Amino acid sequence: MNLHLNCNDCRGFLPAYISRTLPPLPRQKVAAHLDSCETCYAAYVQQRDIERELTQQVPLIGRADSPRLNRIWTAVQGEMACPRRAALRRIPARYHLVTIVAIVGLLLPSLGFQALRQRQMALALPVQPTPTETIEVTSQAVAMATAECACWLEAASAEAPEFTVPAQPNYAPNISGTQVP
Amino acid sequence: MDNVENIIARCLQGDQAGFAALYDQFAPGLYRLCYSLVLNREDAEDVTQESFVYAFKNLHRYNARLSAFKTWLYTIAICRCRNIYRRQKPVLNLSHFLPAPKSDTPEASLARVSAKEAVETALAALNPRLREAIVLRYGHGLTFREIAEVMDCPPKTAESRVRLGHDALRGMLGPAGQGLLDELVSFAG
Repeated sequence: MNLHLNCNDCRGFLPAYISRTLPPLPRQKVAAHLDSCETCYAAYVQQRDIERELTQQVPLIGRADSPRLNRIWTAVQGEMACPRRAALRRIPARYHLVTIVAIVGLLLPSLGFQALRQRQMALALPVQPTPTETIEVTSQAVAMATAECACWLEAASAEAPEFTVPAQPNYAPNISGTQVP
Repeated sequence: MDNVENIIARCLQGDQAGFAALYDQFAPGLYRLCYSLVLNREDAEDVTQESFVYAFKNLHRYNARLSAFKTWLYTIAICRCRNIYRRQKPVLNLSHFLPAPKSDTPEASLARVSAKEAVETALAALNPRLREAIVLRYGHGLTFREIAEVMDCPPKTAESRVRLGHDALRGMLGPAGQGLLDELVSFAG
């Protein structure tokens, strides 16, 4: 098994080697290299010490005491019960203004387009002709028209042939004209 | 103690005690994470509160098969922390330190506070992405895979961010660490 590793690769593997997340084969290679290379071993020791210091010190940063956590919990409960309207309040007024301008800017072209279209449709409609002369409808004219209509109906009824009601109740003329024996 | 899935099931049925149990279990860690990232107590409180409110209101969306509840909660918090440090540069507040245990001598206590101060200062100087990786790795003991989930990046990227952060901190903490060691030796002598 070839356990040879160059210094660059070894430095790259060091964090995983220190945190023990390196697979067995590369781990063996790194260990073998550290045994033989003084420079990499010094880097390894320094990195391991800093790792230890970070593991000890970083968890100490920002530890909250009980009153602080209780205060946050009270605020969380309050917000769960009645959500604050801070979302709108936190947005600066200039954003409201920009939003209004944007909405107006979007609405104006569409409104203008609608107005233009309505105008085009109005122009496309045929114009109603204006009456050239006015006929005055009087009671005399109505009486004349009624008499004329009555005469016409009378003449029409005189010209029409007389209709005879058939003797049989369910009479229907045989159009095909077949003779039944 | 109930496991998290049971507590979440109780919460989804409307049990208020379930929310309190979840808060008790995860609030200290979440606050610590937020403080380590934004390095400001007021912002850390706000982010912790907002993260819990969001998580509780959207608890029905949480899928236990996709990630652990802790990872999901940390993802929510990290997004809010990013909003904070996008808005403003972190301001170091080193006036609050943990009270020393009674067994500590004043000298050891001083050295311990100095070491913590040095680490905190070094963290504040780090790039935010590297700081997130370092805090999740060393402050909360997450694996590279979990860090990748929280930071929304491939595991290899998470690993390389930890390594880069480590390299940067090595440069910053090296002299301070040596100074602390000298200080401790002089007190012991």
